[in-house]
Order: sequence, then C-alpha cells, then structure tokens
Amino acid sequence: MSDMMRLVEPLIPALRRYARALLRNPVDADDLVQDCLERAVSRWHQRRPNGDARPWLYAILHNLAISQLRQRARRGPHLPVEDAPEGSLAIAPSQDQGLRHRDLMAALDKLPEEQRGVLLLVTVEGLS
Amino acid sequence: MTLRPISEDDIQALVDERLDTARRSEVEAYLAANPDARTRVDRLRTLGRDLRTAFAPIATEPVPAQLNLAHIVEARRRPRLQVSAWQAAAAAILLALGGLGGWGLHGTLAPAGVDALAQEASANFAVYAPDRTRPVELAASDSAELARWFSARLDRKVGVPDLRSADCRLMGGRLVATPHGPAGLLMYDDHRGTRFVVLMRPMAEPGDAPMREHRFGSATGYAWAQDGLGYSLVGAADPAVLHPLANTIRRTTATNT
Repeated sequence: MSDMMRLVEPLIPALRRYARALLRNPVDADDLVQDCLERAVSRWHQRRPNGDARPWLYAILHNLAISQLRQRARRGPHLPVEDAPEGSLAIAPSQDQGLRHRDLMAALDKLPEEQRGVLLLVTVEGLS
Repeated sequence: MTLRPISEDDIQALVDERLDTARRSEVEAYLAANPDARTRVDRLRTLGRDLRTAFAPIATEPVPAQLNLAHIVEARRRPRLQVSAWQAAAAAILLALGGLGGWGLHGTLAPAGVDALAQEASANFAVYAPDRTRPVELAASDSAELARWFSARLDRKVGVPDLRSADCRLMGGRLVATPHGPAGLLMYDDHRGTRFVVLMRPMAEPGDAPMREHRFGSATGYAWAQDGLGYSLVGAADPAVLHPLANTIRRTTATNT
C-alpha cells in the first residue's frame, strides 16, 4: 500500500495534464483522473509486480478517456474549442501567442480521439 | 558501410527522441542532405514544443482534494468492509439453510411463513424418514415425554396428535434445528409402513395461516399455522391420502392444544 502511494502519488499532476489536454473540460478531466486512481487502487495487485507504474497508469487513464470521448460523440457534438470558457483552456494565451495557440488546439481537436491521445502521450507525456 | 534506409518511422522517432546515438547520427546526416525532410522535422519539433508548453501549467497546479490518493484508498476501504460483512452474513445464512437438507434455494430469497416451514419439514423428512436404524430419538411409548420436551424447547404447550383414527401409528419424534429455531418432529407410519413426518414450531407471525400444499420431488406436504404454531405434514404419498390426514391433524390439534 505504501508502495503504491510512493509510486502513484507523484504522477497525479501529469495524469491531470493528460486528462485535461484530451478532454479540455477541467471538471471532466479531474473526474476522469479520479476514476483512474480508483481503478489503480483496486487493481494495484493485478499489475505486473516489477512493471513500471507510469505506463500502466497512463494506459488506464487513456482507455477511460477514449471511452468517455466516444460516449460524448454519441450523445452529440462536444463544445468546440472556440466556445470553451477561457479558464478551460490550458493557458490564457497572451495576445501575440493567442492565435497560434488556438490554431494548435483547433488542429488537435480535429484529430480522431485515439490519435489525439497517442500524440499527447508521446509528445507531451514523453511515453514511448 | 551500407546505410539502412531512413524510414518515416526513423524521422518520427527522431522527433520523439527515441533513437539510439548511432541511428540518430545516421538520420541527422540524412536530414542534412534532404532539406524538405529537415523542414518537416523542424515543424514537428516546434509542434511538440508548443504542445508541451501549452499543457505544462496544468502539471504545476495544486492537486485538488478530490484526487488525494490517501482519501481514495480510505474511501474504497470503507464500503468494501461493509460489503464483505454482508457477504459473510449471507454466506452464514446460506450455510445454515443448506445444512438442513437437499433442497435448493434456486438463487432466490429464502421462503418465509408456512413456505419456509414446509421446506424445513421436507428437509427433515428426506433425512429421517428413510432412516432404518434410528428414525426417531424418543419412541411413541414416551409420547408424554415428547410433549414435555417439545413444550419446553418451543416455549409453548405442544401436543402430540393422535392419528390412530386415520390409520396412522405414532413412531416417535425428536427435536430438530431450523433456521427459525428448534422444531418438534414427529414420525408416523401407516399399516403398509409408509412414513409421514409432522414438523411443529412457533411462527414469527401470531395467529392462523391457511393450509397450503407443497411438492418436493416425490414428496408432498401440507403446511399451515394455528394460533402462532406452525405445522407441516410431509410424506411420499398421494395428496388424496395426505390432504385428509392434514385436515385430521389440524382438527385434532385445534382441540388438543
């Protein structure tokens, strides 16, 4: 149990980052991370004993996120990034960077969920 | 030295910094000779850097209480203890019921009232009626002692029905366990040696309950309650024989107790 605390706790900020990058909505993202942590706690004993906790946690979070995004897609179009409240974006863009940031987010939004997830995992989270 | 051809995967891996040193310098050499590829790699690197920059601040935010791992572990532990306590209780109940005999619960709730009584009687019938060594503990000659024993353990006056008018001879009886506490079990047989049992125990509900017929494989039973005392007659006999016998017992006990 203390083993789990030691290995999982330091990863929570990065898990939040990935969830928010993928879902955009900060509340949904934190709920998803909570689901992920609950799963990790209940399945801690099922993971390979010497396996790395990091990719294992990202895999749980990624699968939860993708299934939630698919559910959302079935229920109707999600909030386009232009209409998203300012605080839900990762950063409040400064004027000269704003356009570029929006283009980036819009481009990211156009990717299919699975590809967006993988891109973020590799590029932002540094998973290989 | 022959160079392995540079693939799209190599370029992507270079951007993602997944190449070993040797391969990395090979890919860099290729890029130096191919300006288009070089431009593409630069764009990919810029894109990656922009993405990292865009999302970096999230990881430096304080973690909300909702995501406190110690709380999650604790919250998970609490309901689980309750569940396992329930499971243990359910297992104990099943064990107690299962210990009574060969009838199945069919995954449903345990029966109540005279239905439960009928099941208890049939379970005891299945165990004691075929017994050739000791079908009863106290013989019919001790019927007064049986009545005293039952009355003491069931905590109310219990009579031993006399069914000789219906061509049934009392063999004797014993005290048995049910999920609802102790019960008196009487055994009778007819002139052909066919055995019947009568189970009697106090019911949870006071008063009377109408007679109901139950089937348990080849056995048939009739169960009812009279003034808070439950009765169940079970035998491997035709309902045409058993039903009048049940009525006789009900009539007899109504006047006897």
